[in-house]
Amino acid sequence: MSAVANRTRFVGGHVVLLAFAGLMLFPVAWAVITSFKPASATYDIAVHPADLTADNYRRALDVFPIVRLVANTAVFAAGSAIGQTALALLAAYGVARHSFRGRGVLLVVLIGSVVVPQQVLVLPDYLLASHLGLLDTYVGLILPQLGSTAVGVYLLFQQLSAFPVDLVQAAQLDGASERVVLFRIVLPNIRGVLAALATVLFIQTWNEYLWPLVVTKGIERATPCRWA
Amino acid sequence: MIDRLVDPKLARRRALAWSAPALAFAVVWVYGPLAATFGLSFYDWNLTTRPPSWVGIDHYRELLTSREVREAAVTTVVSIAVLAGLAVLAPLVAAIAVWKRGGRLTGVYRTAFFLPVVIPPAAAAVVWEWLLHPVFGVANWALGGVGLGPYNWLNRPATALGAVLAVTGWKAFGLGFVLFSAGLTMIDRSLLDAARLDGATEAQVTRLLVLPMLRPTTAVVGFMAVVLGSQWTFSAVDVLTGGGPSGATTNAFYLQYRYAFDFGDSGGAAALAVLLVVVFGAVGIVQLRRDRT
Repeated sequence: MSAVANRTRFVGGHVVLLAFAGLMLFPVAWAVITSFKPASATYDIAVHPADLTADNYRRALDVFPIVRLVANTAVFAAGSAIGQTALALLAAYGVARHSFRGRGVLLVVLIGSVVVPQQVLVLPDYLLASHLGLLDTYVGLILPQLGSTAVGVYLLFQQLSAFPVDLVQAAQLDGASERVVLFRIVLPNIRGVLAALATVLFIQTWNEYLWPLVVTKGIERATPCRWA
Repeated sequence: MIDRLVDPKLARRRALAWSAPALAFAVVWVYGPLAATFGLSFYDWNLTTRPPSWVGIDHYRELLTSREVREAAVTTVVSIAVLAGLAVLAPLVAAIAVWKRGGRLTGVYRTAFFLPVVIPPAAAAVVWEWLLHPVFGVANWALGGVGLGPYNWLNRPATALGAVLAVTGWKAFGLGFVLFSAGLTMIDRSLLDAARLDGATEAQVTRLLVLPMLRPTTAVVGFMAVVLGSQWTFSAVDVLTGGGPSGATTNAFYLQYRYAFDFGDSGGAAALAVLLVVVFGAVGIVQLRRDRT
């Protein structure tokens, strides 16, 4: 390939990617701009810069205890993401590591919970949490999320199944136990995937709407998405 | 990384021990409630003080012959097909492109593609409601500039479904992009350089090296899009269209929600939930088998 053609492809690739990035960012930018418009001008396409105001933010801070709400959501999301990632890693490692009859069944049970729609679980989970006295507590918010480890188990099982077997065998020859192999050999090598999984789970929980709405009554444990 | 030296019986016990915590939580918070839902699907109950009455398989018979369910099933299939493109194929192409030649702009692309994921679904839907407003929206304003429209996006069946899927895809794209990018970090770039030195074209490098090594991730992202895709549309449907116009954006999951919370038909909702679990469970198992590595 000639240098000129190479250069053209390089620039062309970036033009396409940049245009796409702009398209993705546009609604976000629009939301930010709108947040500074006076309420009467919400739908105006063009707004005079002099009319822009921080009133909306002032009002939001007045009406809602934002700091408390954000802190609540952070506890909820971090607790769920860390718990789900840990449970998923242990289960995926156990299944990826061993071959036995019934392995497929175990995998289906671990991953199958993904097909149960969340809104189906809201009512029975609420009754259970209420029975256990967990309403309006962080524990009540987080525990039910730990039942949904399916996507994490699947992602980590796929990665671990493709994990280089020589690394594991070398450690085993040195007398490493299953636990040592997990923490010394496997973990350092899949950090990137674990971080991505935890991030995705954190954001998913951060954006959670239905469960916090149902399980929290007071504003002390509520998360801001209730009003979003 | 299967350990073949362990005795099979011991292997099963060890795998179960590692899985026990995840299994315990799933049984208590998902499978137990699901079993209760299954039981409820044979009763008629409207959530009031009147006790549930046994109706056998009546709910299932009604659902399987209902036009509403049939239309929702079609919408569900269309949604999944569109989202397979927006949430799997497009982020796969974008992630590989950015990984290969993002260069100094890699951070910019990652931020731009990931930002929509962080926006709460309900807030995202409200933003798109402004953009698609029939009179004041930017979409019609821009199209008006080239002499088209205005369109009443959310009040026409085809454009309403398109809008719901665009909003959902806009967020799901970033999710796929992150997972594919994470999968790419596990690939050794020097392998690609070696292939290029041997005269492989860029297309060959992608097709013969990158895609096969990315397979574990592709399996997961594809699985999520098919099994969860139409569930992801939930808040966009609820905020933008409420399932309309005339049911055009009501997929099976939204219909299930309406049975439970709008129609107050707990038994029917439970039966539809069971059908959804059976259908998507079967689809999921087929995918798991195909992707077994």
